[in-house]
Amino acid sequence: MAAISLVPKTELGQHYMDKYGFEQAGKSLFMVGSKLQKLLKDYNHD
Amino acid sequence: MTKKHFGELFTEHGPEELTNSFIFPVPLSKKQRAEADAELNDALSKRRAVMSKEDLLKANLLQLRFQIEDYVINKQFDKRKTFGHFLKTYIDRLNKKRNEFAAEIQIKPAELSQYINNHRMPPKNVMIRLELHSHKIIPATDWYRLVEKENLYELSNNKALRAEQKQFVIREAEVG
Repeated sequence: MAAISLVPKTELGQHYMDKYGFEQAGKSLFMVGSKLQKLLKDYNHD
Repeated sequence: MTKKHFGELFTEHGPEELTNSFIFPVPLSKKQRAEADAELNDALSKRRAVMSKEDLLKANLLQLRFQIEDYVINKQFDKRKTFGHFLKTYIDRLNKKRNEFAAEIQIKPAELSQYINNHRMPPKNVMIRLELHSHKIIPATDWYRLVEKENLYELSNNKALRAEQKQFVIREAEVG
């Protein structure tokens, strides 16, 4: 299953969740499904 | 980067500007990395369990797209990772029979077999049909890049064609 993830600086985690729709998994943030597809569309221009 | 330095940047620029401009690495010890990976895997498993069949298929196709894109930007050529290989993977992920898939994009089953078995390169219209079939999850340009990578490798390494064509170059540019 396609997913992207990152371990953010503590101060930036909430911003990643609010702006891009990342979900929290402990220290990591991740994104799957339609949100990930939308992110790709927005930043890939396809 | 020290905590103090990051704090100054954060105060001066705010989260919006910082996340738009930089990716800040967060160093983790081996143990922390293992914990973070376990937490992430757990969350992904839970997420997968509640996804609809349709969303799971989308996620699987998106994963295939990432695999294609990882491969085409990688400088290494892998003779197994052909257009045909990825097309077969695409059809397998849809859980479709080849004849059924061929009918859905209006090509003959024999033509589909030729693409899968690397006996024929697909024309652009077939790549567009693949893009449309995937609801644009895998763009035609990704399929095209796979073909282009194979063609570039073949052109760079075709010694026989070079030997054959040498006779036609009767005078070379005077740069030697």
